[in-house]
Amino acid sequence: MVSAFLIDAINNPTKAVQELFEEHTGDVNQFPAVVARHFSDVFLNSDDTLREVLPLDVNHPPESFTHRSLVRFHGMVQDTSPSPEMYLASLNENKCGGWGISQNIPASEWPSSFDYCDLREATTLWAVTVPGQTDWRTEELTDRSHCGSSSSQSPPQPHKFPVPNAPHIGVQIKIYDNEAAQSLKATDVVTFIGILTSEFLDPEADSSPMVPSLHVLCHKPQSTGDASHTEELATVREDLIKWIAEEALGGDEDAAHWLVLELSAKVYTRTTPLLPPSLTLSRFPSPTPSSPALPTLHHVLSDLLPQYLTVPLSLDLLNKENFSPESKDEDLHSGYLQVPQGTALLLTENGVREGKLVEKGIMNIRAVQEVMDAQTLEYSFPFSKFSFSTDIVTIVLCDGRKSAFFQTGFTVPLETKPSLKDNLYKPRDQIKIPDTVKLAAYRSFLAAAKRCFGTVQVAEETSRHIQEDFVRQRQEDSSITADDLIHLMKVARLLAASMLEREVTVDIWERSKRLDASRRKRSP
Amino acid sequence: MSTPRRAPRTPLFAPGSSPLAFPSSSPTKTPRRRVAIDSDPAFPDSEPLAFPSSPAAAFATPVKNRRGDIHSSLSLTPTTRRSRRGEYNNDLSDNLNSDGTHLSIPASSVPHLSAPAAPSDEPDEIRAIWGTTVNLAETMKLFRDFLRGFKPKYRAIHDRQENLRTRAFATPDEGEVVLYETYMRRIRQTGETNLNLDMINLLSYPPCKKLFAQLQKYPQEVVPAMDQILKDLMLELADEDQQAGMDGMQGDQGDEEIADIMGKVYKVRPFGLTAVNMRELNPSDTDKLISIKGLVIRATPVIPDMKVAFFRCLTCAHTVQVEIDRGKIEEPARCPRDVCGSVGTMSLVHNRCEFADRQVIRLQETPDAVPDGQTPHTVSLSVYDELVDVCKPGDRVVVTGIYRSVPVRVNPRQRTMKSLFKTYLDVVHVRLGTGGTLGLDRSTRPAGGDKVPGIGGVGDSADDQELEEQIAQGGLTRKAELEAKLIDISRRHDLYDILARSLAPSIWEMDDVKKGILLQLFGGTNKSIARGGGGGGPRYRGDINVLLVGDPGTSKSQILQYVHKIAPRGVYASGKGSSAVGLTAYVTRDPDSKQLVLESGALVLSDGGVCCIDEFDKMSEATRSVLHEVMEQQTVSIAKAGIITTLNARTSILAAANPVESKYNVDLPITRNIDLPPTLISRFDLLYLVLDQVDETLDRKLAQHLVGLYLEDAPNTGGYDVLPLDELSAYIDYARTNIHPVLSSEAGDELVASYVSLRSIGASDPRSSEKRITATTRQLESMIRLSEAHARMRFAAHVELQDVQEACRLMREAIRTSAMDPRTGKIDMGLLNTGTGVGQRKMRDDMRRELLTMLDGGAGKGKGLKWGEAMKRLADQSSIRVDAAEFSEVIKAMENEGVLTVVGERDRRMIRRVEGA
Repeated sequence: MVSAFLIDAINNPTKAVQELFEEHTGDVNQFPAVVARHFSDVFLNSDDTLREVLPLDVNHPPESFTHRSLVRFHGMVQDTSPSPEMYLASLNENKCGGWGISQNIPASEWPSSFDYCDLREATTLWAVTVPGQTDWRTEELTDRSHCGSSSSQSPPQPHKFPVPNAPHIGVQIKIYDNEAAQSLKATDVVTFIGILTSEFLDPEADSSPMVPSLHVLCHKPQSTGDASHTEELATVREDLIKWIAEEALGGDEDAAHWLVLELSAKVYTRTTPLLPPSLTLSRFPSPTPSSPALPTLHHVLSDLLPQYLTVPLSLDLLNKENFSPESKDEDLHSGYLQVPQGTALLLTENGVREGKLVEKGIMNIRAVQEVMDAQTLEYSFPFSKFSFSTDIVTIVLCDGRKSAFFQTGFTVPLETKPSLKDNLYKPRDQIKIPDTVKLAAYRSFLAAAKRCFGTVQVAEETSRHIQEDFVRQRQEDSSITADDLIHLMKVARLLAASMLEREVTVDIWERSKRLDASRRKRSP
Repeated sequence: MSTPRRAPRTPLFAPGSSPLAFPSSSPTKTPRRRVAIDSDPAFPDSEPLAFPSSPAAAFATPVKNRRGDIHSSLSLTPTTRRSRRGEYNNDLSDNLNSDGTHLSIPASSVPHLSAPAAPSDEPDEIRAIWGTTVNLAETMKLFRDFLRGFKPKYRAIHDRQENLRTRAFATPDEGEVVLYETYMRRIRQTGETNLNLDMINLLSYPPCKKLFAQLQKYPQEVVPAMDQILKDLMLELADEDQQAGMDGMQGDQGDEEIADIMGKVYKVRPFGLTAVNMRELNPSDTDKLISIKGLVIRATPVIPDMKVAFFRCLTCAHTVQVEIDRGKIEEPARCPRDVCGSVGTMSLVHNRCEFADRQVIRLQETPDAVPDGQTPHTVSLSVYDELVDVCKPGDRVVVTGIYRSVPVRVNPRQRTMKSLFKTYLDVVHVRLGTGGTLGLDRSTRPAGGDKVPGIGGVGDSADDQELEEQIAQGGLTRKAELEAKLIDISRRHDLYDILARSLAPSIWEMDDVKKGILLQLFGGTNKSIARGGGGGGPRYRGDINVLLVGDPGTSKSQILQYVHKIAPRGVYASGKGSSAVGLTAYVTRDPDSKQLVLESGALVLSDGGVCCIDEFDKMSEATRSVLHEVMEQQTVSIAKAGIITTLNARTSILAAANPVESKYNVDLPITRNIDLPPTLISRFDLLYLVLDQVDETLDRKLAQHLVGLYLEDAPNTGGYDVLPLDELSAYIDYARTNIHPVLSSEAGDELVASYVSLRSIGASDPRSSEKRITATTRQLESMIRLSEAHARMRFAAHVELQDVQEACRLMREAIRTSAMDPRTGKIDMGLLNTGTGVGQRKMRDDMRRELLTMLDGGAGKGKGLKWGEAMKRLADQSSIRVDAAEFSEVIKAMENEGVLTVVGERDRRMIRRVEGA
């Protein structure tokens, strides 16, 4: 029976809603919640039913759908500032008015009289394709290999997507279940199922563009994954480090080790700032004219991480593009840093040449530094600024001894093996990609490490050991400060997480000290 | 602007010139509550009052109470009395009761050409608000009673019931004044037309409780009724006063006044509802009176809003005036003159129409009202007449208005209307500044200086601070509760410690630093010498500036960040990244208007608050020079692009700096450790050295603290209870706004004694003949400020002995570490003020003497001494190392005295004795 409804709903969602409305006997105010519950039960409970619904993405642009068809959209909430929309909740003859039904009837069919008591509000948002979502993740979500016609049409409101000039979908989202919608925040990743229409962006404006508009029946925020954390995954660790080192880092396993540590980090607490540290891979040579502009690392990371973005820094880009979102004319323009929680950002400094950094560039650099230091991003609004929390792992590649622009938590100078030096820059097709099973294991290992980072504990014994250690070191060398201790404790925590351990043991503490010491030895 | 020709249900839209398309009002098609008065069968939808169609008669037209903000279907005839005041009687209200038995309104003498004159009310009619049982006549009578009967004592009783602080009346009579009659007299005398009505007063006047609810639910009908009563009472009162022979109301003068009142439109502007968040507005609030607060982000230029349209028949030149009715103007379909009667010949004559001012404002949520992680919402406001241009972008306002939802056409070019609705507010009252939430130090503002002229209106003052705070805090009882709680805290015996601990609880130790910063947050009182020259006289700052200098990794930045979070108007800037532009104000050209505008930077923005500057030492010279002015005069002067101005920057500065060689060198004086000019350093009241010392027990404690913080789950906050951040912030805010301690004589004596003893610390040392400067008047001022801040923290009205003692202790603590002369181990303020300490001066003197001996002695005689050699020889003689910088200072000084000259460059420099000197 459910499946029959499912087919019906896919074929004619409007009718399905109307039927529900007729059956609904309770309070009209409750109806949106009833609809959300009903459709969630039908679609959101399992991946199989979810996949029955056609996806709206870059390969399946809004133009390829017929008016009012049922679609699902996996996207990032970009802007929650549009004012809520009023609509007539019920029309004559017990007809439902929400989900774009009353908004789209022409004047001729409009009810001759209506009651102001029937007015209800719908939350309006703007959502975009998840920025930095890697191809394999998109495929995993879509799981339908029918490639639609990739349209050349440029998406509406391109300024609302963090990455300029990148193909994406931007959709106006209307949520009728207001209570559920209140919990949605900027940069949340959500799967929406709803009826796709095309509407004016701002009905009050004189000239307003037509934008795709999704009348949401039900939605589900992205869960942080719950894959069972298996012990075997721990064995993958060494393999992964080796693979990254050989394919992308010129055989430097230490650097690869640090990279894996970095990728295991996430925001732990904000009260005492335990935030993901940032990593600089220094002495990373610039590309030669004949080699590809993007380092091999870019391809490797995009094969490993679900959300990952490369920003090839250059003066031009710093001076012209937005990094932090800014509201202009009451429209929130996006910036590179407006990405979902858990995104990894690779900043390459190799493209930077001599020149002048204008004020915008300085502000952009400060914004990145702010994300690195405090994991907060400021959105500018007229006369006020709002600080939003982020959870972004940043990796900087630079040619010199240290990054020209940023102060990062760790700096690891790269030491390539001469034979593998060319590996740093090579096209994607020359990378030895492991078999699917192994690659999947790598991916779930990194995801598991990230989860583990949030649960690492410290045994009583270890903390005593650490304290003694610190006091002893201070006696020997007075230049060691509290900062060094904090730094080492962060490393220990990361190391424990990357080994999928639940506890920082004395052994891990000693290992992290050795690891950090060898890194220091490299630093000139 | 044209009226829709067809589609009678289409509302009239605003002209396209506005950046925000905005229908001027609500549409007609809604089944709106209407007052059941239809006196004119010929024009079923028109007003019962006839409009004179002939412009010639306009001068005689009684002024109709026409308000832009209220598009009421109710129309009331103003009582036309002109000079016939003899007819005035107290049954006036009965007229409005509509029983019509003794009408005192004379029929308008205006010749009515086309519209039938029907100024009278039908006798049997009961005026009720459509769809309700609210009898309008009763409502009007209630309001009349209110204006005639409300006394401040009712408000006092009401406030007491709500457990609010009440202001004591100076005399019992003060509570017995008929408040609104006083206001009405003042309105007459000042020629105002607005009466601000605090709705809480309605609520506290027992007979009017009902009126409060009615006003909130049906403002559309009740407000015009109130306007009407106001005008009636104005006339009534004027009449009474004239008969009583009141000053300025005798004879002809009184007649003139009354004629003047007749010609005016009086408006009641209600306010005082609890402000709600704009997110909480929902369709059920439509057409109700609500109050919201927010930040003005955009305001359109003034838009002319058509009030009365003027039509002329193309065939017979007959003219008709049509008034706006619920937001639209009905174009006459045919010439109303029976003789002509041609269809579709009426055309609009623009320059004969009447317009009113309108402005559309976009109001955005303030940061404190936005749920975490969401972007702020905006709503549109429509303001009319006097309220136009009252608020500017950037202002924080509390507005009271009527919430509207109106259908809109999706595409103005198409005539098809889709059932979309837009919402906005028709504003009836604007109040600038939402008080407490702004968190600026009120003592920095001149009294009444923030008032905008023209917002006008006599009546319940809108700047009543208490009330404002109540609104800002979102509830009356909550405010009272909070206050009680804060006072409770202030009585704790360990108040000082608990507050200091609560400041950055995650940072270990540094108790004195925390205490110093705590007092900085409370601040001293600002004083100005009223009798000084130039009106007002000089102003003495009450702001306390604190500088932290210390080794890297001693959580200076963390402290700054924390203060930035809790400080009122806290602004955080890093000296490294900020140019002079970022920290101060700069001039730019506005992209929209192409005009030069001043954009204020961190310092100006934190006017009345705290500005936290990290990496103070890395700040550019130019920026730092600005700080000199800011820190003593508390202004920023700007002379750029043709704009010369001085902006106020009454801000406390909390700065953090690293020592020159990143690690503090204890062998060098502080001025050599910090790369800051001594003039700037001396402007800091407290200077703390945060040094990293190796000490086993300290290290162990530190490690314990850090391990607990970073590896274990429960953050160690020093082990004791602390106040949560919001409570601490509220406590500080409350103290800053409400407590203004003054020095007691006892405290004054103690200050003097402490200052003298501080100054004599150096002088009293019997072993030394040299005088050391230990404290200057700057330090005395600092002590006063600190003791005031300490008293303020205790919620005390007077600065007492204990405050001064603690201030002195803090000063000494701060001085002991910062002004310690490394060579003598003594406190020496000269180090901070001039950059050279006594020990250093002594060494220079020695060096100078030796140098002269050398030059006068054999070797250098005549041709002088090589620079390097002189230094080498000095070093050979001396037991301590000769500093190159010190050496060049000595040479420079001697050169200035004319004792010797230096010739050559760099390495080849020669020092020569000036002959005859």
